Amino acid sequence: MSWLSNANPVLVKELRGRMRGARAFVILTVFLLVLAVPTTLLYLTVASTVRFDQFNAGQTIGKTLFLGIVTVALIQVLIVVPGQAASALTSEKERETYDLLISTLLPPWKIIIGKLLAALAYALLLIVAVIPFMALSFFFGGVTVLEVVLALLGLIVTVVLFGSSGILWSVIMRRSLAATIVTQATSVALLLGVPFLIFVAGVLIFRDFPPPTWTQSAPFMYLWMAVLSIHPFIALGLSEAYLSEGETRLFFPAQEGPVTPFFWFGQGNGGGDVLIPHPWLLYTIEASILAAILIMLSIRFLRPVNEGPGRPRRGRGATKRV
Amino acid sequence: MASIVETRELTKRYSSVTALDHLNLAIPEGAIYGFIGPNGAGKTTTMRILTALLKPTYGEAWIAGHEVTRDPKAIRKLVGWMPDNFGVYDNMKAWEYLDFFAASYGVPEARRKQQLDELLALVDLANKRDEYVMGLSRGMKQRLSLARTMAHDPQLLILDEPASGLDPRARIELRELLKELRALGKTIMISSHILTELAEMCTHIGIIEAGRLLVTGEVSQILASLQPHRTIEVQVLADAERAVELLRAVPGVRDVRLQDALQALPQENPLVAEDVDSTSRLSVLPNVLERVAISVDFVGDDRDLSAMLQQLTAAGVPVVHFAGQVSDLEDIFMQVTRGVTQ
Ligand SMILES: Nc1ncnc2c1ncn2[C@@H]1O[C@H](COP(=O)(O)OP(=O)(O)OP(=O)(O)O)[C@@H](O)[C@H]1O
Ligand SMILES: [Mg+2]
Repeated sequence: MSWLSNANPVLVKELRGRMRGARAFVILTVFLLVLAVPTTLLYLTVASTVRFDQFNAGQTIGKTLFLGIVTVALIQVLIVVPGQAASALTSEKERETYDLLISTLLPPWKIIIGKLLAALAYALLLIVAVIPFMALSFFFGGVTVLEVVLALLGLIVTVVLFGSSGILWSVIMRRSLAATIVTQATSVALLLGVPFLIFVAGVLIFRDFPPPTWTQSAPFMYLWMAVLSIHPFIALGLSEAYLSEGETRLFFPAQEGPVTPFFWFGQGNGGGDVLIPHPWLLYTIEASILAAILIMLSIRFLRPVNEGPGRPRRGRGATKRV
Repeated sequence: MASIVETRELTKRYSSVTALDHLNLAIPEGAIYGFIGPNGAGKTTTMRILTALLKPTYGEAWIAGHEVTRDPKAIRKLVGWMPDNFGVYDNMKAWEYLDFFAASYGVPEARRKQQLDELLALVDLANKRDEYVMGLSRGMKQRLSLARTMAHDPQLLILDEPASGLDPRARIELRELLKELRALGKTIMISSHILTELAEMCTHIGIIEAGRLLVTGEVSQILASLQPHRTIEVQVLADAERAVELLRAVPGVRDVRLQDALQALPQENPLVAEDVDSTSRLSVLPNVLERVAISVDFVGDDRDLSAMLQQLTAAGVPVVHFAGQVSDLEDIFMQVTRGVTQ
């Protein structure tokens, strides 16, 4: 770890603390158990409903297992990562090591990146550990390499995005508890708020049939796809829907999308020729930009904790003499 | 001597409180500068400004020619800072703690490895190298923290109340350690509430209250100037009357009083058990009753003081005890600081 220690001492310090002793082992075991239980249940359910004389029985099982594993892993990292990231800097503030840390010669970006990577460590471990599970479903058939790769990419991008949000809140807040609550609230707002917005907007816009012609315009279609693709589950779910229909192009004409969750595209005149990006690509780009913004804000806001007027007054011990 | 630290009209206002009020401070290179003041005087505020952690509202602070707000990076290289509430990481061993901070200051790996054991030895923690920091005692943590401040070999050490919470032995060890560091060429700024705690080890002191520097300068001068009236206690075995005559003639002496001999008996003499009655006291300390104590109110300087003792001995007075009352420092502190705190 010595070269790493030179490159980013914060990361090494954090990893030492987190990975030390039985803790990391226990956490990873719990992760995998949580993953294994639904996978097994899913396998049993699917296996009992699929008739094995069907020529594609294996494929159905493989696909269902794959989707199940990715979904559970996604939920797991969404629960674990923000918690880890949210306490990254607040724990330094609580231990009163924050001032020491930022008064070293470490540039703020190194501190933030070190903290982020360390917070993602468990999630990345989990993602690595998920690969054999995916291989299992791969073994049944029905899942392509591209799907596996994109699932891993989607997991990593999600972890980075939600981790960055946790880091930013950790920089802003003073207490780990507060930072964790706000971070989880942010995640929930994104995970539930975006579908809600989409639903409301969808109801309002596509109330009439056929929908207004401006919904066939390129700007609207891009905007609509962009909003849909900021949500990890929607973006990855849509991607999977396209992929399983054989649509592997990065950009494809809207009307050629074999799956039409937006059946309105291409129904009217025009619009159908607009090239839209594959949802996973859009998600990767959007999440990366958003994560980059969050990280940059974190770096900017990293400053002495009681610079502002609102320093919590610590009760001074009575032992001090004057 | 050139000043390594200099502040000009340094002022810090929090919303309603003026923590520093046009502070002009100068710390000569190579000094051990004691920064003394009651709670809320502005010591920590000054130190945080000097470590570029806090921006002053007004005024400037310079360290070795670098202005703190304009050149925080240079400041961080120059300064080793020990906060009043040093934090420690759990799940971290003593050597890792030092190694982490050294790496954070960009000390190259080869150098880190080499200095690690030196530092631990310097603060007397060599045998705690592989212990978890959380498991160390307060004094050990404090020493480790001190070692940390030296991880990048800074010129100036700013130590915020390093002695608070230490037992007397640890204090003495700290004092020795600071002297060693000074011998290594470091300048040390150290804060405390307690003047006596610092007076013996500091070369210079500054007394701050309510954000204003009340006195500053070399310790000897300050002690002299702050002690216009000090009490010297003399104990003689005989010739008390003659001693009094002689003392009255010494320059700087204002008043001489003969005290009852028994009062000279130390209040808590370790040789005398509490429950022993006074006759057996005498057998333990046979000479004490023969002593006569004389207390002298004195306003002269140290030269007059030594002249005083010389005259007594030259005249053949059997002097057995001759000492200034050091505890008066506390009184001085109380006298200088008026208890004005926000
Ligand atoms: N962040 C802050 N917000 C508001 N007031 C503050 C802040 N920090 C310090 N103060 C005030 O500034 C004054 C000086 O505080 P400072 O901590 O420098 O004192 P100190 O000399 O270090 O005291 P102590 O001996 O208790 O450590 C105090 O009145 C304090 O209440
Ligand atoms: Mg203080």
